[in-house]
Parts: sequence; C-alpha cells; structure tokens
Amino acid sequence: MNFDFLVWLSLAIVVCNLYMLAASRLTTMIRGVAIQGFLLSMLPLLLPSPADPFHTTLLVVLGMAIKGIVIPRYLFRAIRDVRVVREVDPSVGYSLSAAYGFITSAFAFYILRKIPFSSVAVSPFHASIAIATAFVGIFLIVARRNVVSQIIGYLVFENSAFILAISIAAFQPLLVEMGVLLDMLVGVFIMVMAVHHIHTQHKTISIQSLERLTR
Amino acid sequence: MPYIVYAVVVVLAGVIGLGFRGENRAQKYLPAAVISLCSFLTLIYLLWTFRWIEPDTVVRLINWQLPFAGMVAGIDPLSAFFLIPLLILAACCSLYGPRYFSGHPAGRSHWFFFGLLLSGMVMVLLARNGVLFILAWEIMSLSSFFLVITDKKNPPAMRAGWIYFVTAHIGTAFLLALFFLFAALSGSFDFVAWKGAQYGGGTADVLFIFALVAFGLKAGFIPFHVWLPLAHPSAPSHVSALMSGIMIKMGIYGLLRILTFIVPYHAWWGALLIALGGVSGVLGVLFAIGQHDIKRLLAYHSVENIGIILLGIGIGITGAAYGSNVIALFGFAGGLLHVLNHALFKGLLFLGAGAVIRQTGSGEIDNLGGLIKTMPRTALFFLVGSVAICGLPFFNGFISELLIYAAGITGAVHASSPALSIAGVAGIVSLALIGGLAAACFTKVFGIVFLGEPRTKTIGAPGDVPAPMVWAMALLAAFCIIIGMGSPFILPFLIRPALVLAGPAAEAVTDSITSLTMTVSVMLCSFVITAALVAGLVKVFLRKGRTVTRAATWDCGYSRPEPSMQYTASSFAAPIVDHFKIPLAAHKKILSDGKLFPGIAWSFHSEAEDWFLTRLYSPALELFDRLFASLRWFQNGKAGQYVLYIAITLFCLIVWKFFL
Repeated sequence: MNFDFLVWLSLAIVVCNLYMLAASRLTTMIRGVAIQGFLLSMLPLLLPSPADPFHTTLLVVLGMAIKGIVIPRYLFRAIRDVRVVREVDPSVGYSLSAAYGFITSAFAFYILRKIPFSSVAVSPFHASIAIATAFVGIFLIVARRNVVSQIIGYLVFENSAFILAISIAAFQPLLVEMGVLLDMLVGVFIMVMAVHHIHTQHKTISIQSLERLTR
Repeated sequence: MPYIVYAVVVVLAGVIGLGFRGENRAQKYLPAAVISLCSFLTLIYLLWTFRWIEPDTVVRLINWQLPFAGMVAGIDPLSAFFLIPLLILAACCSLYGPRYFSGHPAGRSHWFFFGLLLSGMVMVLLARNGVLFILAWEIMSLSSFFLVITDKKNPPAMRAGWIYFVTAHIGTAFLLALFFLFAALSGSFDFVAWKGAQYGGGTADVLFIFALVAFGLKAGFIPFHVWLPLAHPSAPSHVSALMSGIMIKMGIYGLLRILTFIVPYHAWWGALLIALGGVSGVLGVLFAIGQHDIKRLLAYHSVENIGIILLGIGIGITGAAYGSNVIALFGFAGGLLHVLNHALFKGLLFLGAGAVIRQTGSGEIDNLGGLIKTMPRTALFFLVGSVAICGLPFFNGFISELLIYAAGITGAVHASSPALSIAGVAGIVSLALIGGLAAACFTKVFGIVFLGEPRTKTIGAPGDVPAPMVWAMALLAAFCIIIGMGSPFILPFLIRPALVLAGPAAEAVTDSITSLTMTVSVMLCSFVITAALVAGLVKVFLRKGRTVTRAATWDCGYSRPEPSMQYTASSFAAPIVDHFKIPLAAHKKILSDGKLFPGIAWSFHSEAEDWFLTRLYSPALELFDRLFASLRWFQNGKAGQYVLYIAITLFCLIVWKFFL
C-alpha cells in the first residue's frame, strides 16, 4: 500500500505519546489515547499481512470502535460522574515528561539496530515504535498520581503490545485478537468501577489514598 | 477412590451450609449431619478394606495441564493409618459441633471451612505429588486459620489467629524449599521419583532438617510450639479437638512420609528426635501444670504428646539405623499408635472441656468446681480421657506408651552399641517423667473442675449437655477403652504402617509385638473380671445385715466449711511449679498483710509464662522488625512505584541482553 501514508501514521502515533505526556488535563489525555487507538487500529490494513481480508477488516473496525470510541467515551463519563478535578496530578513536570518522551523514543529507534528484530519482524520500524510507546505507558503509570491517568497508562501500554504483536507476528488467530480486545474492554470496565468505589470511599481519586490497606 | 469422593462431599456439605441462614433446625444441622454421616460411612469402609490396601496404589485423578502438578493420589498403609483418627474425629466433632453453638451461633461459613479443613487433610494424606501436597497443605492451613478466628470480635482470638497464620506460612516456606530440593535432586515432583532417587549422606541430612522445621511448625513440638497454646483455646471446642487431635499430626505424617524417601536413616536423626521429644514432653507437661485455662492447659498437653510420639519415632529411627528390627518396629509402632490414641483422648478431653465451657460459660479452672454433680456424664467421659492421657492401664494411652517403653528397654538392655543404649535410656527416663507429671496435672484438672464445690457464685446448676454432644464423647471414650483393653485388635491396623517405616526386614519380628499385646490384654481383662467379682462379693458381704446411710464428710471438726477453703489450681500445682521453677519461669503472686490474724483476704496465684514466646520469639521478631523497617521505603504501597521497579528491571534486562 501507500508507504508514505504508513510512515505518517506511525509518526502520528509517536506524536500522540508526546501529546499525552505533555497533557495537563484528564480530558486531553483521554483524547490522546483515543486518537492513538484509532490510528493504530488502521495498521493491520497497511502492513503486509497473510490474513484474509475479512479477518483484517473485522479487526480494524472492531479495534477502531472499541479503542477509539467505546473506551474513551466510558472514561469521559467516569470522570464526569465522579466530578474529579481535571488535573492529572503529575509527580514529574510536563516539560520533563515531554523530554522523557523524546529521549525514550530516540532510544527506541537506536536499539532497533541492536535488537535483531530485522530477522524476524515484518516491520522492524514498528517494533521500535512499540518500544517507544511502552516506555510512555510505563511512565504514565509511574509518574501520574491520578487513578484515571493510570488507566490511560495501562491502555497506552496495551497499545504498544498491539503494535509489537502485529509488527512481529503480523498474523494471529482471529480468536486471540478478539480475546485481547474483549479483555481490554472488560478490564477498563472493572477499573472504572474501581474508580467509582475509590471515589466514594476516599472522596478523591488520587492514588495517595491507596497506599495503606486499612483506612 | 472413595476417600476422594469423601473429600469432595464434605466440601459440598459446607458449600450447602453457606446458602443457609440457619432459620430452622434442618438448615442449622444439615451440613454437620452430612459431614458426620459421611465420615462414619467412610470410616467403616476404611476399617473394612484396610487389610487389602497395597503399598503402591496410585491413581491419576485428573489429567490437568498445570505444570509439574499431576493430580496424582494414592493410598498406602501409612496414609490409611492417619485416615483412621481423622475420620473418627471428623464424625464425632461434626456430631458435637452444632449443639455446641446453640447459644451464640457461628457464622454460615463455619461448616464450609470445617469441611474444607477435613478435605484438605484427606488430600494431604492422599497426595502423591509435591505440588498437590502443597496445595492441600495450604488449604488445610488457611481453613484452620479461618476456624481459629471464628470469634472475630475477640481481640486475643484474632491475635492468636495471626500468630498461627504467620507460623503456618513460615512452615510452608520451608516446605517449598524442601520440595524444590527434592524436585531438583530427582527431576520430578512425583513422590514415586522421590522415593526412587538416591540421596548422598549430606544431602539426606539437609533434607531431614528442612523436613523437621517445615513439619515441626505444624506438629508443634518445642521450640516450634508457640502458636499452639494460643490457637487451640481461641477456636470453638470441636475445632480445637480436630486441630489438636489430627491436624497437628499432619506434621508428623509429613515427617514420616519424607523419612520413607530418604532411607537408610542416620542414627543422629533418631537422637535429635529423642532429644526434641524429651524436651517437648517434659516442658509441655510442666507448662501445662502452670496453666489455669482448661483449653490452654490441654493445648500444652498436645505439645507433650507430640513429644511422646517423637520419642517413639526417634527410638524407631535409631533402632533401624543400627539394624535392630525389634527396636525399630516397637518404636515406630508405639509412635504411630500414640498418634491414634492422642487423637482419641485429646479429642475427648477438648469436647469435654467444651461441654464445661458451654454449660458454665467459663474455661478458668479456678472458677469451676463440683461439676460432677451437675454434669455426671461429661465428668465420666472427661475422667476416661484424663486417665487415658496419663498412660494408665485399661486405657489406650497405656498401650502406646508401653510399646515405646518396650522399644526403649530393648535398646537399653540388649543393644550391641552404646549409642542405642543411651537412646533407650533417654527415652525411658523422659517417658517416665512425662507420665508422672501428666498424672499430677490431670489430678489437678479433674479435681478442681469436677470435684468439691463451685468456687464462684455465678455458676449455678447448669445441667448436662444435650444428647448428641454426649454421644460424641461416649464414642471417643469407647474407642479409648477398646484399644486399652483389646490391644491385639488394633494390630492389623498398626503393623503394616509401622513396617512401611521400619522396613520389610522387620516383618520377621512382628510376633514379638503380637505376643506382648496379647499378654497385656489378657492380664488386663482377667484383672478387671477378678476385681469386679471380688468387689461384688465384698459389697454383698459387707452389706449383709446392715443399712446404708449418708453423712457429711468428716471435716476435722471445723464447723463451717466454705468453697474458698478448697484447693485452687495454683495452690494444687504449687509444689511442682516450685520444684521446676527454673525451666518454667513461673510468676508467683502472694497477697498478704503478714499479720498473725489476717486483716485482709490472703491470696496466692502462680502462672507459668511461655518464655519461648516472650523471651525468644518476641525479641527475635522485634529485631527483624527493626532491621527491615529501614527497607520500608522500598515496599511502600505505591502501585506506581512497583510498576517503576518492573520497568527498571525490564530496562536492565534489555541493556544486559543487547548492550553488554
């Protein structure tokens, strides 16, 4: 397919990473993860894949729907319901976070040469995008104190696993991919439920209230 | 296998109980009734089929996909022997339990955890794979933990529960290490492979030590006993009976099972077990004498009896190591029989203590008194248990201790090596001391609790307990007498498990054990018959031409006797406690004004402190706490930080793999 479009799409995914790192509001972060999910759901169409077109199309449509629409909408509703402060409550500042994003992305492209992906991967380029995204996902979990932003970190991490999977294996049984999507959906459902409970219990959704097992 | 079916059914009975609110009689009693009935039926099946149980019957239950853990179960005479007390106690305790709770009902989950505990123990006995064994072991430990904290509103019970929880898991840690060692040495988690593998001398020593600690923490011999006197009194009485009667024996079973893998035995293992057994036995009974809570006292007697069991096993190991079949067989048979006997009489005593607590509301010995008048049946069965635990003739404790004595005496007299003589003498001496002190202790308990007059006003005329509870006690008492009088009947169930441990060569000397028990049994029975005849004749002769009148006991001319003039538990135990004040670390409190004519009421109170807990474990644990408090920043409850650890680890792995 159109190679240029693929490159631009991939770079957009990386830009989404930086966008989330620099975001100071929860709504911005959710929008970032929604766009990222929407974009990377398109990847199977553009990468060379031995799977049948029906399989690919179904996966792309479902991925866009769930990652790009259902989950973000659900998160938006969650923060509206618990009326949280919209701040993401970072423990590392925004510009430092963005710098981290640049450095780890550069590092991810650098280790592409070291790690012998090229022999196994369909697209080594995307393998390094996946690694860069993983670094961002972990960072969001570690460096943001708000529970919702942690859920987003988890989603970003899951996105990176998705990119890595299609860049290396290119083709997995339909059942497995459907299962992963469903797991994500259920996972987010449960986490949002936990957010509600945390909020009713502690009147806040900062994770600092969760450090002790007893109240 | 019917035992697996049993294990499933008792859990299901508990699960059914979870759904009941206990609104009517059927809902209240159904789970326990099902467990009791199943236990009886399985017991009868087990006793009937015992002689056909072959050493290596192994079945693969489910072909599941868990790595390393084939669900391999099997039964051999050793497992089957431990099933006997398990099923007897399961039947009696679940018969007893529902009525015990009639005043303040336990939660719905009680019978669920009870069934789970039973099923966990059955699976421990049947497991023939290390991973399955550990799973069953954990089910057993956790369900008994939940049973200990049945009374959740009681802070001491919760504390006891946590101490038990921690010790149980230290034991599990050692158990895991032990099983991984076995797996590394034999290349498999199956017991068959463990038994077949060859272990070098040093390796076998290491395995033995790990097994001793791992299973010792469950068996509760000194110095691993600290959880036991705390947990047993906190649990409901029928649970105490089950835990003290059979759950701590799972530790003994585990140790014996490991011993069958690491043959030939080393002599010093036996010596170590005799030393531990002697110390546990003597200190256990001494601590018991210093106690004033009836269930705590009984718990210390469990420590003592585990000591006796260890003495038997220790002498057996020493005998086997020196190639003496007679000593090995008598030692192992005595130890094993004491496992069964202790389950019977300790179960009986805990049920009796529970009956007293239920009717009077107090387990403090000094509050009680004169209960033989209001609770005659409980008193009778408690007396049977007391005599049996002291190892006096006509009751079962006598037979097992006799076998251990026989092993010790054979070792002391006929042995070729001096080490064996020393082992034998050590065994005999400690056993004799234990027996005497136990008799003193139970004289105290029975005398203070059941004889005399009530010591506090609050305890009125309680009456005896309901029929199912009496029946449960009666059944256990009957077993005590049957084994005590008809010991040859028990041999078919005892010799083959003992041979599993003593080795097939010992089969040649089984006649000696048969003839000993036969002689003893005939002597005891003929004595009972003769004594009954003589007593009857004397009674008839004395009564001839006289009338029977009742009068008060002669009171030395003192005209106004009062309950406070009776012995208290402290004063009765004082001479013995004084004598052993160094190992006991007893506190004495004497309240007096020192005048010739006392102006205030003088009082005397003594209590033995468990210095293993207060002077050994607590300081050590506090030290650990201080040492590791400086690492608290590392594990601080922040989930984000934990994720950071994972990230750092991943990063280091990538760097290590591709850049170095």
